[in-house]
Amino acid sequence: MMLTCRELAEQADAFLDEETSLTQRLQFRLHMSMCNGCARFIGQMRVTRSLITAEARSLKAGQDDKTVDTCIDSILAAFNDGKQSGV
Amino acid sequence: MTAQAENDAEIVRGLTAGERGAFESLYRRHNVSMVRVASAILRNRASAEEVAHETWIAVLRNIEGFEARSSLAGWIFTILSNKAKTRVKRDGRVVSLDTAANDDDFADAFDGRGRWKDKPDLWDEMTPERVVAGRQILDHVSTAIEELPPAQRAVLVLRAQQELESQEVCEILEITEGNMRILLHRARRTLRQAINEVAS
Repeated sequence: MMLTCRELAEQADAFLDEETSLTQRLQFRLHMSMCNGCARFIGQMRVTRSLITAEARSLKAGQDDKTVDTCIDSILAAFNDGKQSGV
Repeated sequence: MTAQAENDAEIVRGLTAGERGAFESLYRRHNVSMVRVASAILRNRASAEEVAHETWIAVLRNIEGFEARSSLAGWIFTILSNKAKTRVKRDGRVVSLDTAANDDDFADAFDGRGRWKDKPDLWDEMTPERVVAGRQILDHVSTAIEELPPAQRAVLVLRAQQELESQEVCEILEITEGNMRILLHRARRTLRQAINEVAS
């Protein structure tokens, strides 16, 4: 039976994570070949997922070296104080 | 041994030997996400930063006890989550992340026969190169992530950004796998909508 657009959109994550069965994947592909709305939606979800990953990388790469150094110094000092006092 | 397990073992060796470089590498990889996840539990940025700080000290104190039954990241986020929940209880508050039952408005995008009312736009400007290079787009995504409901934000960070296993995410946040999938899917859909505002 033909998937509706709503059903396809609701299962988009499973499709993109390749957690769907062969039959489901064929149903997805058949639907998208005839429905440019759903083909666009899946394309948008792919881009969204790339951006979510890229955002995390960007935040990590953008950490200020001086701030990181200060935080690490503070953590290591607290750790070493604890060791000396036997905590 | 998987590549990740080997990498974890290498970092653990470095931490046990007291190598600052090993700690800095671990800190840079996880601290931003740790503050985000703790914020989702505590609903307070300053407290979240304190809890992340306490978590790092606990990691250093207990690293020799890490038995690799989960990934190193999973172990760290479990410590973080426990510390954040303890603080919530200490403050006399109750915060549950098991809140997937709330309906969103995605159903409104479809007519009675399950077809799009308005077809999604073509994001023809959003090539992979532009996506990765686009500072403005990434800032927009950051803002949208910060505005997600806390449970969605925590799941998104742990599963989609830190790439922890589903089971680890469920254990850390004390939610069911079904709930986690719903939260993750809704978070991604909300972000798609936010990106659509600048991409179309």
